[in-house]
Amino acid sequence: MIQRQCTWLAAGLLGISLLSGCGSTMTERGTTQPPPPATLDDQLRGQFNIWGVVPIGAVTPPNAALVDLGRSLFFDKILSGNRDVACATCHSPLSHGADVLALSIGTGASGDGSSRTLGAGRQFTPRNAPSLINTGLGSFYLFWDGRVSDLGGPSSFRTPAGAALPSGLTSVLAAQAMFPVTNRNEMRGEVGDHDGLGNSNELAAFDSTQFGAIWGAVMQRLVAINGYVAKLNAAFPGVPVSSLGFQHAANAIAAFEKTAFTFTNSPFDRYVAHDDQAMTTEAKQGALLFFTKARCSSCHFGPLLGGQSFASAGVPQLGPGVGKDAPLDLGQDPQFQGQTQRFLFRVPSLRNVELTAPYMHDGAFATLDAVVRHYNNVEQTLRNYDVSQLDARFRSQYRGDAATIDAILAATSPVVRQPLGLSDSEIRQLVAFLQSLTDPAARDLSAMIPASVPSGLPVR
Amino acid sequence: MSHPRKLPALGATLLALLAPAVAPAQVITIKTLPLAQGDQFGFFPSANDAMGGVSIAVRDSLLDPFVNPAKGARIRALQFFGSPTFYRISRNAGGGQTLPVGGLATHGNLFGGALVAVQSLDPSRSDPQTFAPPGIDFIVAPQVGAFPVPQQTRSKTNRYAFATLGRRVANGFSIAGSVMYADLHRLEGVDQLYAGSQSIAQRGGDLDARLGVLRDWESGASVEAMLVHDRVAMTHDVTFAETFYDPNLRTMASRPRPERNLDRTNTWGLHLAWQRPVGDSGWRIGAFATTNLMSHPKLPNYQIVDVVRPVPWDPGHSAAYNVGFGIAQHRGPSTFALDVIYEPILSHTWGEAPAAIETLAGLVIPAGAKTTESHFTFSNAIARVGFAQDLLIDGVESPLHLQGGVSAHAIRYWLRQDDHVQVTSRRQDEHWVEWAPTWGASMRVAGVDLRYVGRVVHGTGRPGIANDQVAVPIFDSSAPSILATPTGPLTLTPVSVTTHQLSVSVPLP
Repeated sequence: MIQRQCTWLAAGLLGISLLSGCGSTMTERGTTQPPPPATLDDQLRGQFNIWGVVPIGAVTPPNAALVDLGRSLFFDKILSGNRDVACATCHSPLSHGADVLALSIGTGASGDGSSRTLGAGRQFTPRNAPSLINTGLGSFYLFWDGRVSDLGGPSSFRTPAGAALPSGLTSVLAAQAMFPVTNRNEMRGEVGDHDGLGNSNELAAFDSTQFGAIWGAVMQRLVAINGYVAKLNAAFPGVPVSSLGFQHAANAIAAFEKTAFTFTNSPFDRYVAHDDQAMTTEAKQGALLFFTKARCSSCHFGPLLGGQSFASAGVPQLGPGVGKDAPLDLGQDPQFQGQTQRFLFRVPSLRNVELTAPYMHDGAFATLDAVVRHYNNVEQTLRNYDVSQLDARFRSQYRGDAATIDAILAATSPVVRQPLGLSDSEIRQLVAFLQSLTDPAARDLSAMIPASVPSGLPVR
Repeated sequence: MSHPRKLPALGATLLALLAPAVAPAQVITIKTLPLAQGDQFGFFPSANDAMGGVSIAVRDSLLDPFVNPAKGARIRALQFFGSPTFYRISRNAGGGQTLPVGGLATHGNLFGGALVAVQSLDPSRSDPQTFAPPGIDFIVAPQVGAFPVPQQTRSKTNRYAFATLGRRVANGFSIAGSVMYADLHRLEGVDQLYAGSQSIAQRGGDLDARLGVLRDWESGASVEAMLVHDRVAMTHDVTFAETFYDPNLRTMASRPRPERNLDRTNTWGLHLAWQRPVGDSGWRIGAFATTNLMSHPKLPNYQIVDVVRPVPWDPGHSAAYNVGFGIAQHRGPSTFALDVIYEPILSHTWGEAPAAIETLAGLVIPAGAKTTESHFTFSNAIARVGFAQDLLIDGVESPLHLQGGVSAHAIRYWLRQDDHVQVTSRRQDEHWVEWAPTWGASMRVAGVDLRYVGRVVHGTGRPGIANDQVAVPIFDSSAPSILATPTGPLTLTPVSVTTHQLSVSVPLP
């Protein structure tokens, strides 16, 4: 009886066993197509992972009184020996924190912006004024040759002043702000100079190695002005003015620069923050080239797309040159960074680069298109440099002799020297990408210019 | 099976209308990946579940009123039941336990019932699960910090309520309606669907309303028709750990990035079924046909690192059909049943441009127009076979009722995907088989029906990502709908879902 009842049971168990035995086959899964091509967005975000491109966090707002003091100092020509140059002269908000000149023009000049004219007996500064935009985002090196740096740790600032650098500086940007006032060509002037009112230039009397004395003299000018005393008291409450040094002023200037010149809401920023529609297709294509075929990200990597390293990019030589190597400018000084390679210059951040022409350390290229074409074939561009793209005043500053070009090419980084083979449309795409790095809010910075400064000197 | 199986990339909109909504059957499941779904909704008591789930040519006195409320007309006595159900996904991929209790009753020409259930679902992943971007190599090395995030290692509770009411009209006609609402705080596997996320807070519900008509003949034949409407509305508040550059500290750090995803799918369905005995042979035959029309007004932006990228604002619609034929034979203490179902499905999903976007061909797609389109054509088949055997045991009044069976679900689809932005088009063909052996036993003891059902679902898996550094479980879902775009190879780690259900039914005179 039991045997008969179990007929179906046995059959069922047999069926299950057979099916179970087939399990490995039944669970196989098939496809007849290869994996799909990754979308542009997928490819781009993959490159972001490789090159450390991540969103940039908000900058902690500095003390408002400190920023207010810094704003006044930034626009006040009282900081210059001849009372004719302010920080804003070469880092004008009207020119997006830079000037529009290939090589900046320091003290003793006249005019502003593109109409600024070299004074009699003066010479151009050896390099282009770098834009201040986003320099407050934690740079590690400042100046084109990186002579001011902060690599972290105690006593971390490395500057030309060495041990003379006072303590109390709060950032590398503040450390950088200590030095233009010590530079004769930029702000301090020459012995025997007089300002427009006939006042003698007491700052120029010091030797260039007397950093402390120069800073002290600038500070004496500031504390003699009631407006600055009030602003210093507000910015540093409880600290006697008599104990304030120029490092305090530098901290204020840096606080202002950090507040006023930080712009991180470009289409690219929004794209990095997961808004796939923020960039145009052309800009995305350019971005992909940037990180791949064009090899731009070899140097311009990280959240700032640069600013953290040095490179020899085969840039044509312009200007009076620097130091013992003049009329050449060899860039990074080996005594500061221990580098032996020549023509190494700081790789700038490309954020808002569209707004900061001309480009490179000496303003050799007038447009982004020219920069991209340079990288497309560095040797060809260097040997056939089109000097006509320069303002007529700067054409004579070009050092295009064969020996100089050969020296530059010999030092050019291999990753840059190899031609890229970019087509015209790819160059347009790269330029479109570079334009997507522009924060619209950075296009017009005129509102940050104060009507007056405590010294009473003209702001413009 | 111990090693992950590399799956070819789907590269398509991933559509998985998973789990037959809350109430069983008549809402057709659509899957584009062999994902392990868990058994979150498999807690309804059933007399035939252990027979491979056969249903076309056999009646299920326990489950039928929950499938078509008009079948409650067959209730002849007051009946209370409870069916605690436990399931576990292998490889610690999750599990859950559900305690449903309910009753069915009849009074005069009226009949009805109610069920409530409390469910506890375990998390299907460990916390935290963060993907740090690889390859960051700064000259000045950054530090990657962490931020405190809510942990989701605790179980979540879902609640279900079902009610049905019907009336026997005349001449064997009955009409009834049912409503079921699920208050959901976790859907199985959804916490696997947002790669890189630190936490996912789910909330929402599933409303399932049915109106059924049944005609029973004294010969044992029956015809039924049913209208189904199902609305899934879930909100997923996802917190991602986002690596960012902190300019104040000049380091890389982590911060929470909240993202809200909505999951909306509405289904209208029509189901027709017929069943009859074949003379006195002991054989029964049956057939059914179902139509589901689904709209997906908003689907979540599921993300799987390097594999599935979200297609934001991705709506879609589907038309799913199935037709089935079943036979069963009752011969003395033995029962055999077989179901065969064919299931064609058409799905169309797309992404919409939130703003005008330029294509690689230089054309402009206006805002609101389609950026990508995926057309799926499914040709699925389901086979279920089951048997039952009553064994008389000396000294025991009620026979021991043994059941066994197996079901196989073969899924095949063809995909055509058009990317209007990249101006590309491609086709893909996918197929796999899921199968589930089932077993069970029941016995009446002291007037109480005791029943046990067990089943294991094989052929599914839990996708993960295999790269040099990270192998992370990604996918294991029974969410009502999933729409995302895989863009790279998926790695499927095979898992099985094992379910045990004990049910106690107390018929009262």
